[in-house]
Amino acid sequence: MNFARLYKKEFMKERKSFAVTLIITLGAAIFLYSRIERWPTGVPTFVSMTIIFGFSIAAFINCFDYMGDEWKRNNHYLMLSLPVKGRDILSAKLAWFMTEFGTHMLLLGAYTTVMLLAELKSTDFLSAELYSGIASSVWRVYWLTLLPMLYTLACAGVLGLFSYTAGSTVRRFNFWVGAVSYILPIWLLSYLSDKAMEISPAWLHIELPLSNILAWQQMERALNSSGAMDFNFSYFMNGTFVGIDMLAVLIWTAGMAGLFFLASWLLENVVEV
Amino acid sequence: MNTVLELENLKKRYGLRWALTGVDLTVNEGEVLGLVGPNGSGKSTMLKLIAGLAHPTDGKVLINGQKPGPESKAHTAVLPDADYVYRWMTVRQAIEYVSGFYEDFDHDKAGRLIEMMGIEPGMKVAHLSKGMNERLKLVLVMARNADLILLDEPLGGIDPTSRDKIICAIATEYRWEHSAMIIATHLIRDIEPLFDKVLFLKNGQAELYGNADELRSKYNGSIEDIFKEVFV
Repeated sequence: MNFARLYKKEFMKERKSFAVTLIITLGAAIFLYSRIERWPTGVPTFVSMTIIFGFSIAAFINCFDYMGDEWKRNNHYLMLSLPVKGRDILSAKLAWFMTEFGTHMLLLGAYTTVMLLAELKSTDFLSAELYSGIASSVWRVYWLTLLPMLYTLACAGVLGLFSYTAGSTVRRFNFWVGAVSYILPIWLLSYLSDKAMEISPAWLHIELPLSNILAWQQMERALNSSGAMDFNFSYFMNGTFVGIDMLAVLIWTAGMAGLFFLASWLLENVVEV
Repeated sequence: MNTVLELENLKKRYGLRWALTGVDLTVNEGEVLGLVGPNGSGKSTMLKLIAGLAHPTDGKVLINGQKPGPESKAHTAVLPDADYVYRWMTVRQAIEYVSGFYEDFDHDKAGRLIEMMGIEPGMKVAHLSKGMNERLKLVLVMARNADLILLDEPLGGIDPTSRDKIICAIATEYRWEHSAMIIATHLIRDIEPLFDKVLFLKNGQAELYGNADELRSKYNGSIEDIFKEVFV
C-alpha cells in the first residue's frame, strides 16, 4: 500500500509534464508521418530515431532528479519522516521512472518501426514479398530489443537513485561522491561480467542465428524470385549468431539488486536532513 | 504514566563540531516539554534525532521502547522548521497524501483545523504565504493522534495576533490528551504556559532541566526570565 501511495504521488507530480511530452511527441510523430514521400526517403525515420536517442539521453540525465527534486525543495523532510521503508520510496521512484521513459521509448520505437516500413512501402522498387520479409525482420528486431531496452532503462534508474542517495550521505563533496557511486559500479560490473563471459559454460549462452532474427530466408526468396539477382547470403547469415551470456546478465542483475538494497539501507540508516 | 520518549546520553557530531554532547531525558504520556536555547544550541538537531531524520553519533533514542525507524515514525508527528510540503500539491491533496500513511490521522479534526486556520483547501501550497504554510504544517501534525508530537518553531511564521488562537489549538482544543509533545522555540513568552517540563540547551549540552513550575518558583520568574538569566 505504501508503494502505491508513493507511486501515486510521483504520478500526480509529473502527470501534466508527462501528458504534455506525450502529446508533443505524438504530434511530432504524426507530422513526420505526413512528411513521407514529401521529404527525401529516410529523413522522417531518421528524425524519429533522433527523438528516441534524445529520450535515451534524457533518461540518463533525469534519473538523478527523481531523488534530487526532494532535496532541492526540502521535501525530503516529509519523505524521510513517513513511516515507510527506504525500498518503498526507491521502488516507487524507479517504477515511475520506468513508466515515464519506458512509455516514450516503447511508443516511439514502435512508431519509428511503422514509419520505416511506410517509407519502404512508398518506394516502388520493393515487391510485396520482399516488403513482407523486411517487415517481419524489422518487427522481430523491435520485439527482441524491447526487453534489453527496458532492462538498460531499469539499470540507469537504479544507478541514478543509488548515486544520488550515496551523494546525500555526505554534506560536502556530495557531487563527487555521487559521480563515483555512478561510475564505479558500472566499471566493476562491466569488469566482472567480462571475466564471467570468459569462464561461463556454453549452456549459459543464449544465441540466435542472425538469419532467423532478420527473417533472411523470406527476403532471399523474394530477391531471387524477382530474377534480378542471385542472392545467397544464407551461408554467411547462418554462421552469424546474436546472443547474450546469462552469467553476465545475472551479474548485472545481482549488482543492480545489491545497489538498490544498499540505497534503501542508506536512506533508512545514514541519510540525514 | 507511560514513558513515550527516552534519551540516553544522546550525542551528535557533524564533522568535527559537536551539536549535542550527551543529553538524557524522559517524556511521559501527556507531557509537554519546552526545548529552549539560543541559535545553534542543538534544539533542531535533537528533534531530528528523535524523529529519525538524523542518526546519533552515540547514545540512544527510544520511542515507546523502539529505536527511530518506520515503526516509531508511525507514532511520531513532526513539524520541521523547513517548508517541507510539496509545492505542486493543493492543501487538500497534501492532507490526503499525508493522511494515507498514518492510522492515527483524524480527518474530522483536520477539517476543523483547516477551517480554524482559515486555509483554502483548493489552494496550491506554492501559493500559500509563509504564515499559511506554517499553519498547514500545523494542521498536518495536529490532526494526528500521535503518541509523540515534535514541533520545531511552530509559531515562527505566524503573525502575533493569531498566535494565541493557535497555541490554544495546540494545547487543548485539538490535542490528543495522551500525546507527549516537545516544542522547540524562541518565542518562549507566548508558549511557555504549555510547558510541563523545560530543557535549556547551550552548546549542545543540557544546561538546565526540570519541571516548569518548580523552575519558575526556584528562580522566582518566568521561563523566559530564566532563559535570559541562563544564556545572557
